[in-house]
Amino acid sequence: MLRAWNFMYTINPAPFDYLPVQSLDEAVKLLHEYGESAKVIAGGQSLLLLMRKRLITPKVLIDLNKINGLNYVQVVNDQLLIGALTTFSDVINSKDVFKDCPILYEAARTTADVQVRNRATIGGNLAEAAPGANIPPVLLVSDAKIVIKSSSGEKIVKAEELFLGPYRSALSNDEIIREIQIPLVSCRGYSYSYYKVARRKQEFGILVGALLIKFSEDKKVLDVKLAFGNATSKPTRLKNVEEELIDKVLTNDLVERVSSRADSNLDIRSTAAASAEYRRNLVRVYTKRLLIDAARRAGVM
Amino acid sequence: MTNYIGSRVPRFEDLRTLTGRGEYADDLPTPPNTHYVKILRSTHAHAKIKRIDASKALKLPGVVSVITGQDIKQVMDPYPLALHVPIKYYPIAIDKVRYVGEPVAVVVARDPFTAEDALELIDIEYEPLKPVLSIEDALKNDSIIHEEVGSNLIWHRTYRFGDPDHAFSTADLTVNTTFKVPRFTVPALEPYVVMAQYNPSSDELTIWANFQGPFSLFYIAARALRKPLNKVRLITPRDIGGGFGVKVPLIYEAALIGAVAELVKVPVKWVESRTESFMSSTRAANRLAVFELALKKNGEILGLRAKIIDDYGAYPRSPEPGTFFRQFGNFVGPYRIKNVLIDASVVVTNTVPSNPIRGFGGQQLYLPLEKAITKAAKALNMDPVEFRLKNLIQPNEMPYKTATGGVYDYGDYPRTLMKALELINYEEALKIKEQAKKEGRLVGIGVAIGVHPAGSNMGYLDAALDPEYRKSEKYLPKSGWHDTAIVIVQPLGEVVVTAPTAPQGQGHETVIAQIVASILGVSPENVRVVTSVDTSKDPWSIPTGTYSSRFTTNMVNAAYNAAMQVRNKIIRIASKILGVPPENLELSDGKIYDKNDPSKSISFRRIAGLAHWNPYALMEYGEEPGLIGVGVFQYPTVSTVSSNDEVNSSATYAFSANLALVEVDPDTGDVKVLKFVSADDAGRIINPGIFEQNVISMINQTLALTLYQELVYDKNGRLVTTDFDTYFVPTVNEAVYSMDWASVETPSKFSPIGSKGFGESILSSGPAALLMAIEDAINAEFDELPVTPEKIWRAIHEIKSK
Repeated sequence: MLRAWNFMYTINPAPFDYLPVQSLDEAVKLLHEYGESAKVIAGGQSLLLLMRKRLITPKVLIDLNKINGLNYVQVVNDQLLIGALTTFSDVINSKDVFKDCPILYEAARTTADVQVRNRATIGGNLAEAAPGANIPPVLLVSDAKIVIKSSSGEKIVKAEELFLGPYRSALSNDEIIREIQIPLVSCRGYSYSYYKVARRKQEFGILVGALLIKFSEDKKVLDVKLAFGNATSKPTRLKNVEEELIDKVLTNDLVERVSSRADSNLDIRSTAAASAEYRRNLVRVYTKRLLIDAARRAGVM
Repeated sequence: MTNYIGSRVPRFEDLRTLTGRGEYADDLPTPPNTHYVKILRSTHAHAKIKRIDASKALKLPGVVSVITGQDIKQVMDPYPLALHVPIKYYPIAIDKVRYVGEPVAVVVARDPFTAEDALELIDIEYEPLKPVLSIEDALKNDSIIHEEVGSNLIWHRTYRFGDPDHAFSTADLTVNTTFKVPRFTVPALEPYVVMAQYNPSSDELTIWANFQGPFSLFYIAARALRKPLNKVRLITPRDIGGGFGVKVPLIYEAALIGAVAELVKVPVKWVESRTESFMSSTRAANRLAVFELALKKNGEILGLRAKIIDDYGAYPRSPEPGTFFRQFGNFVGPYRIKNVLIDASVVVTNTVPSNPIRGFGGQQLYLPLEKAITKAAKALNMDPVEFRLKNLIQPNEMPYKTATGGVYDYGDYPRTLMKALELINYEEALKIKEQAKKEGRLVGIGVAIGVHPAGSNMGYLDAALDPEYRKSEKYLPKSGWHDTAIVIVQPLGEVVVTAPTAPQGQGHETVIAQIVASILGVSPENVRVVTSVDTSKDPWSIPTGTYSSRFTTNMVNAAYNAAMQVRNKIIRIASKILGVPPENLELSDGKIYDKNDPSKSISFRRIAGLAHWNPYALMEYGEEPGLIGVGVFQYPTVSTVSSNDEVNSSATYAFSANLALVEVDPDTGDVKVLKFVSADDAGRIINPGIFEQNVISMINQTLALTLYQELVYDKNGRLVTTDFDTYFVPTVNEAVYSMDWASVETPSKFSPIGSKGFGESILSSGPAALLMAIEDAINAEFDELPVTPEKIWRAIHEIKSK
């Protein structure tokens, strides 16, 4: 749907029909009906920029903002549940997130700037599948699941299955994210570290790293989950690094050794913002920094 | 007498702008039946226009007209250029496009939305030509941008002062450096806004625009519009949301909108978009520079040889070639260099035409010069500060005439540099660096200094001309620099000052009020200052505007002169009334009183009332009626170019000494500015608060230019950095926090106030200081900006870029 470069200096979107809906059922029905010519708007923080420059020109804009009951953060049955229309600011202000999933708090807090966070929604952000987004690697390490609604019903996918590539999600035309589910067992008792590498704090990351790690009483690694966003074409867990650390005590030597080959299985991206060589280096450097940071937070290093 | 000069008066402008009550161009009321304009811009960097078909656009309801270059040609001539080259520069492409973003057609519609919708209904058939995108490409001349010239190298001259050949042949050693200054801009938050209305019955064209000057360009625009100056009325709003030079070439598109208004005969309004501002407004000229120094073993600099090639984009429009000539008089910087050879060239490329950007030529001069100076110190095994101190022009040599004709109007360079060393605690900084080295950390110190011109002499452009031409009768020499201010006293003693400068947030209302209030003995709050420009009634002239840091060298003195006329007249009148000799009278607190017997006094208000209600009394005192002062000021040193190409290119010259202490992360190439200090000799400081705001802004723009900013084009000549998400302006998160500054005041002796413009100084020499610090930390050299973390990381690990 991305158009030619020609009109990227406009201020106003091309004409479109505006369809506010009262329910997700109504939204997915309309999506099914209009197909590719429709776009869904939640916070609009990325979509409207593209529309104003006429880089995308949907004929129909389905507005989810009038739907009640999709903006929530709550803990039910040891799961952290976040409604798709929850803004980043609401995520940051949630006590449950701060207490039970501080890595998500960190990632949300360092997303864009306060004006954007006040409008941008978690659901919209995930659907956009921006490669440098803050949240996806966090969802990967916290074993999150995504509830997706379509005209034919609901399904639940693992977070890693949602992302196919830069700005490509697994959502089909008539699907909308309804909820994000994070099992608390995946976060509680874990130490964490989170880094976003960006020229300016408010930008998308050149690299986004998320780490959850759990230590035994004798300081051995009981469980570890490491993921990077924007290292490869989609957010990726670094299983090779994780496997090398299990059951070991973190020493400087071990951290050095493991991080120096952290990138070995990765098909690293190259973009205008950073070459593959530099990104590869950043993966190594930040694997080390994430591990040391989390270990220090846990008091084991 | 209460003297507000030098006092930290809070800016009068701030309350209205901070509370959203500024009066910007887009806030101006629109005339009845105003239509809206959008510009269709070229998507090709270099192409012939084969056909423009607007029939579909014209069918869109609400579209009134689509105007093309052929239409504009009916009412406009090409703009006169300062460079004598046969290039036809119109504000819209005629039969060929020469950069992406060049106007190709203008849509006039009833509303701005329809105008935008119509853009994509215009069909244009292009025949693409090979784009010329770099200086290297331009010199190949395998694709010619202007057929009339026949070459992309459109200007070349050599300047020789003293005996550079002798200097180099007798040197103990020479050093040289090559540096590429990138295409960059200093974006202003407010884009261009233009309204135009044409009255066919009187052939009068009124244009409202947030134009910052120089009004020499208004003259050029009126000429291109084929109208006498009193038939074109240009009005600037009270507030302009940032300029930084970007709003200089606004006049070219403002004239286009004016021509459109004349053609369609309805009022029209145009607001530029953010992306247009990056893509098609302007940029700084990029430069390829090779600087070479001839040195003696004892550290003396014998000579300078410079070869520079500037890229002015698609059209060399005025005030280019100012990038080179604005820094002509101070080409040797603060150093005693007598022998100079400059080989200067200008090329055109298929990129947006250049124009002044804050610093205008300063970065292009001081990056290569200060890099060469630093290399020279290294080659001589001298401390870079010590080497600079040895070659500085001394205060007892002031006023100092440089080899290239600049007249440095007083300044204490050694004391200012010593002050900067004190600010950063140089000895301590050297120890920090040594300690870091032992710990395996990368810490570096950089120093860069510069002499910074303020108040451009319009005559400097004449130095571009062939000296033979300058001997002919066709040559009309220029030395325009002056400003005019009017001080009016109203019936209740209120003071209104007309000081047309079109400022863009610099605080002129406050500063003028400080000066006039001090002279008239009233409070600054009692002085209303009108700084907007209306060419139909304000005393504008060729140099009018706010650019080239000219306000504090210039308009302040015009206002001083105007206020002094009023003051002297008031004293003469009061002397008659009080029977006290004029020399014994003082003005303060709204009164005129006898210094020896303050009980003998008359209120300022009483005399104001007298002048308005009973002018006959003034005539009885032997005075003309009225209480008004008109002050004009021109620096005595701002003269025309000499027969041997020497020119004092500016009125005043501030001095800036900058030091940076940085730490580089060897793993990522990230730079942390541990401290940045700047000591500046800007003559007398009128408002220390505004001085400090300037320092803080320039240090952060220094950071931006050195580490973040470049206008990047793709291989087709399309700008990649079209928005704030790709052209990085550091935010408060990235800002330099650890900074310090000091002002060393050596007042200029050529003006009553003695202040000097310094609003571009740190941004001109500061980037060299920051770059030198990074180079010092990692022991590697860069030949271009910006130095991104990836480039630094590659340099540390000696990894070549692919």
